[in-house]
Amino acid sequence: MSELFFDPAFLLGELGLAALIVVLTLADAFRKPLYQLFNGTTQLSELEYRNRQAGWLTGIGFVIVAALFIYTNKLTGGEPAILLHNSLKAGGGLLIGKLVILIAGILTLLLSIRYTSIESIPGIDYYLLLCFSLLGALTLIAAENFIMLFLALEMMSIPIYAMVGLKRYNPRSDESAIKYLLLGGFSSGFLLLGISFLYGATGSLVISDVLTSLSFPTIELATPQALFGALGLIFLFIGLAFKVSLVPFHAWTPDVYEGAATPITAFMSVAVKLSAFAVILKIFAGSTSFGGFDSILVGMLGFFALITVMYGNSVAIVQTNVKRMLAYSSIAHAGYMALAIAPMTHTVDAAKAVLFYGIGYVAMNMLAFGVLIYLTRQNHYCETLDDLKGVARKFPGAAAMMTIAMFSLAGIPPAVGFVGKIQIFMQLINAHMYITAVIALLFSFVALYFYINVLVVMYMKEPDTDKTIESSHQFPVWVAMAASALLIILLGILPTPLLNWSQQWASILF
Amino acid sequence: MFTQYILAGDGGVFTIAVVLILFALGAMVFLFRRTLLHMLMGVELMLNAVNLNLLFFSRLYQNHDGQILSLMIFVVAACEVAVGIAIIVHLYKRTGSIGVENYTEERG
Repeated sequence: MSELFFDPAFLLGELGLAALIVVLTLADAFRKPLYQLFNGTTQLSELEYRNRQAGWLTGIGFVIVAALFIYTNKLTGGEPAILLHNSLKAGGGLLIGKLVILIAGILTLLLSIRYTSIESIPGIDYYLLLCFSLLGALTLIAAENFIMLFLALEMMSIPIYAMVGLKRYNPRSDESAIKYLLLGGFSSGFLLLGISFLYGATGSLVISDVLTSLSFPTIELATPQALFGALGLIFLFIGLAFKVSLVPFHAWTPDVYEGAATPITAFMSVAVKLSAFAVILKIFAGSTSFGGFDSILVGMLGFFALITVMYGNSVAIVQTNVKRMLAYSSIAHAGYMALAIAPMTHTVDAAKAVLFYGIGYVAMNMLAFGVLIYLTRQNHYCETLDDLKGVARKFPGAAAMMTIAMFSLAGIPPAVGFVGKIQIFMQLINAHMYITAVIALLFSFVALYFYINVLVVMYMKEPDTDKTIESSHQFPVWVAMAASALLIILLGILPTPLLNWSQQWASILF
Repeated sequence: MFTQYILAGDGGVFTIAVVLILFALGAMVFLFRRTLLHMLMGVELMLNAVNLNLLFFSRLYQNHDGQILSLMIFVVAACEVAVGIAIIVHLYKRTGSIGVENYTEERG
């Protein structure tokens, strides 16, 4: 792996995204003349017109950025390199991670184009914040240095705090925004305390140097260095556990997911979670073993992951709001992903299982939230189970999509969720953690109840007569839903390519 | 070198004790004060405790990494407060109060 100071060839995609941010800002500054110039024939309101314009502009930008990522890979021969004095890794398997996160961004964009107009959210602000957050997530998975890691994490989170509060006329929205902001700040306090203790133990902020020079002698925590190292790792884990919402650091998740605009909820639940998990994998499940401290980490991770699975799946049963139900289900899924690294085997296979599950989860959650967005109309939020009553009769397509999403989330073959769960449980069985595996398996049967319940409501209940939703033309949402459904089925039947991709991404973390 | 600094002299133990006490105070302000501004201040106190820790270790190891990170923390904390205050002002305009007991739209 080569070390370079700065080579723009490796960072074309990120630079492209930064350029897109500038273009969007300029488009906002010149919105009046642009509106007068292009709005000759359309009958749309100014807000709706501007939202569409901003949406398509951002969409074209994202496609160019994706092309730039692939071109970067060609240009540099796919060899990984470390840039900017041990700050960023680029190239190699990271391309997969970056493309997955960018695809999550594109799907979010497709889901948002109409939704922003319905909720009268100013589109340009929304897409700008989305771009900033994406740039943060793309940098986060490439960070090689705790300074860069912290900056990227905040660059990903702070725009999301603002995006959660963008539904300004909805009292729940700003309430969830302040909750997320305060708890996010609280968790970054823990993350930073962890980083400062790791710095105290090793005198370096480069992740690989820190990990290799951390040593835990057999009499644990006997030296100040081992004590600081242990404190650092534990606080760092707490800070990251907030981001991926492991129990007991999950309290914000249902409230924030419920109050945010639905496309933002979808983005938060996939992109933020996946990139935070990539960081957890790099630090805790990477190639460096922590010696005597590993057994403590096995207990800690195993305990947190198992109660996360149990809590998430059991509380989801009593929810009547579908967004809250999906929030608890996303807590449970974070638990499954953490279970795969709980044995602390430090193997590529464990990281591969987590990343495979995470990538599959992008497709399934996007689809589930996509259906809710598809059914949302002016003055009609499709959020509770009552709103979904009898939807299958009027919208058979949307109901079929929801069926695919729920089957995949529940882990029923042939969906991708099934293959992901097998990967996770294989890790537990290989490490002889049979009891944990059996408990987790039992709770995934509990989960069947509330996933299937959504389908029962959609297919078998009579619709409320006073709540009829008119159908409407929503091409972008259909594209997003069809793409995710196709991915779920295809990757469920033929998982080999995705297994190879997640293997490539996992191997760059080692 | 390390053990000597921490255990014997130069205020090592003292500094780390101050850091932990400051951090715990910040966390307690966050957890027990029931107004949004106080909670935001609690977060700031936690971040400043971390800054102190980083500066101490930066001097201990005679390198600048810790100082750079603490400068970055200032910047990011300012951004966070800017977004936070904007949301708090909006909440205040809507409800006329910044006490958390008013924000109970979401439960469960």
